[in-house]
Amino acid sequence: MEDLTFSTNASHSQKAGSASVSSGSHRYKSPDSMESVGFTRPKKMVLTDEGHPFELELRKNGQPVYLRHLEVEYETYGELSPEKDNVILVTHALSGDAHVAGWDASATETYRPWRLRSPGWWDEMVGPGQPFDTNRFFIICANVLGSCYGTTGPGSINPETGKPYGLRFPQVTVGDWVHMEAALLDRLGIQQLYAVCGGSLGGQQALEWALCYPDRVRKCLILASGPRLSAQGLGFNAVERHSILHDSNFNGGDYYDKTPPVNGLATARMLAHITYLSGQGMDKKFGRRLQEGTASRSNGDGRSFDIEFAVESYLSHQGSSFVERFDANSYLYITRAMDYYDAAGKWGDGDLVKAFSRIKSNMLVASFSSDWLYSPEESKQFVTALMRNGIPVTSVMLESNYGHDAFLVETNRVARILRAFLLSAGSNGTN
Amino acid sequence: MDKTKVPQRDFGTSEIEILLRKLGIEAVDSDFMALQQEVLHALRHGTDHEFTMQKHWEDPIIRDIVLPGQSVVDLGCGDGELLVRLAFERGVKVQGIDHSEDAVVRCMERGIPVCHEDLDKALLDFPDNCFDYAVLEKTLQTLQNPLEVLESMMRVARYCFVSFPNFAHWSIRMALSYSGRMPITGTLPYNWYDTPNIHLCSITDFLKWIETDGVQLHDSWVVVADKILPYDPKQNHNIKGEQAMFLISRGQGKRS
Repeated sequence: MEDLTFSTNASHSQKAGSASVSSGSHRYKSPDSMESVGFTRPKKMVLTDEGHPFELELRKNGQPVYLRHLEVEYETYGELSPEKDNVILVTHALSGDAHVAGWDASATETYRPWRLRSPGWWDEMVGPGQPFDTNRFFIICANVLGSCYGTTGPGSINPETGKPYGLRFPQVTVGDWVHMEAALLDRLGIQQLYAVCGGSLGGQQALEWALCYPDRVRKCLILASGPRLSAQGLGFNAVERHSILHDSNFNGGDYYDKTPPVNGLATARMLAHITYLSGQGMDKKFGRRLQEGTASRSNGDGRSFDIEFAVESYLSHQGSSFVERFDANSYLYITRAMDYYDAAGKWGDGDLVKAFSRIKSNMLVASFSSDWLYSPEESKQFVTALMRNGIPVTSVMLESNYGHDAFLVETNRVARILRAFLLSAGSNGTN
Repeated sequence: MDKTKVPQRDFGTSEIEILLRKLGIEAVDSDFMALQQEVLHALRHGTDHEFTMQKHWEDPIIRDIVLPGQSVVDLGCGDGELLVRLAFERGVKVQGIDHSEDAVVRCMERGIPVCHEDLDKALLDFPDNCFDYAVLEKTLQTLQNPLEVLESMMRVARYCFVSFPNFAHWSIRMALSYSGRMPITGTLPYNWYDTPNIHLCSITDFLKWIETDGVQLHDSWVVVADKILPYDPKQNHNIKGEQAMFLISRGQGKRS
């Protein structure tokens, strides 16, 4: 783990103290650092109006499904050039949000309080002189449709009923997210993306951009991702949803005025977190170490199912801190969108080579050796399909113990790769 | 580095002549005297035979042959030195492949599309005939399965440049014969235990493979001292050649 610690005021450090079970001490860029984007504020835009609803990809009984009201929360960093040719779209992963970098000035102890304690989820990558260099690029990230961070989702008010949608929210897809982002960019007058970049589910979104809008993407950067989720991945998502759906507080998704299904959601997150690490990484980080201040009862002195091992404590903390900031219904919708995504099925009748014949962007595919959610073998499918189309491809496989999380944790090496690929002129006349 | 030294003693010129004849070098060779002096010097001062030709001696040859608009894949492209010039000076469509993370990042910085792959397996996924040329510069001897890789190269590219250090060069023969130890030379600067060179061959070995495997040979270059000459079986190139490069293909005949 990177060595990260920073706190802006007393309230941060108090909270951080209780989080010490997790990943050691964290050092963040402070908002006044020369490399930070500083304090940020989320932006909102309504993409629908009377007579112009947002059409979703999935139909119901053969009929198109619309959202009458779609509001998107997004953030931007840096300045849009007069030619509007310096735009990088960053796409977030399952539990991410539009807050990529900086310290959210709108956060309070009662509104998104976790943002008081840490900057955006990819803060290391964005800022003056960073790979997503705010001195030259205009970086934009939108919270995906169906999420719970400001963009319309199952927790939003259904205009038909005046109540939260819950499970009445229509199923959304990775394609919907891309169409939503395209609509947002249209309204901002941005035709072409210099680059689109994402990891994990965000990587699939970046790929969908290159497939759906080949003429709008110059460079496409995909990290720790694959053209579809493996059977193992589908299985994990199924167990995670099962745990939410069978929480006694779930109540068919209508829990917004009651106690939410926090146990189910925490369990889902704990399982998911295991899939983000690797076996050897967990051994290195926790081993069979006991949680500080805990005596093992394995010598027969009674029995306890309380937390004893450090790894139990870590996962428990991941679960409980997640429920503070995430909505269980959104978790259901987004994991389903992840399940359904299949680039080959959607664009190539099941043939990835055929699907990729549409691509015109310069492609970067990065994978991590110990990632078993989107393994290097999955990434290799991208590379093969591009090669079979005669499309020049850049791929890199980083040796790392950090599993799937490596794309967020191996900051320096990932930064080096992103910087190299973003700044290169590109051969073959594509740039 | 533990350089292999030939035991230093005074060799007579006649002794060298006998030695060279034993190695198969003909007295009619016009370079005989020069070679004799070179060997004598090497024996008197140890076998630190230095490779004087520039490191990427193959690159200008390749750059002259590949035409603008054609495509090249470089297996073991390193920092992309060859490809960057082909791409930006000659408008060649390039693809690099290397197994080193640092090399891959350097290629990325230079705008060269590059795949980070195990060289032995890298070409398996490429379709047939998708490049005009494949390049394997001084990498053949590091491969686990050199013949399979050569076969893949000839499948994915119409023509292949293959260069390698000649293990039958006289300096290597001397080092092994006189010291009885694995040779360490300018082109093979490793100890036996840390060398990446696991499948070394001689020029004759390579040509024998070409002949028996029905590979077409289109052109050849041999580094003899500071000159690059076409391979000549009458010129003792398997003894005097430090490195060699061949342009080969599977040809139309065997291809269906």
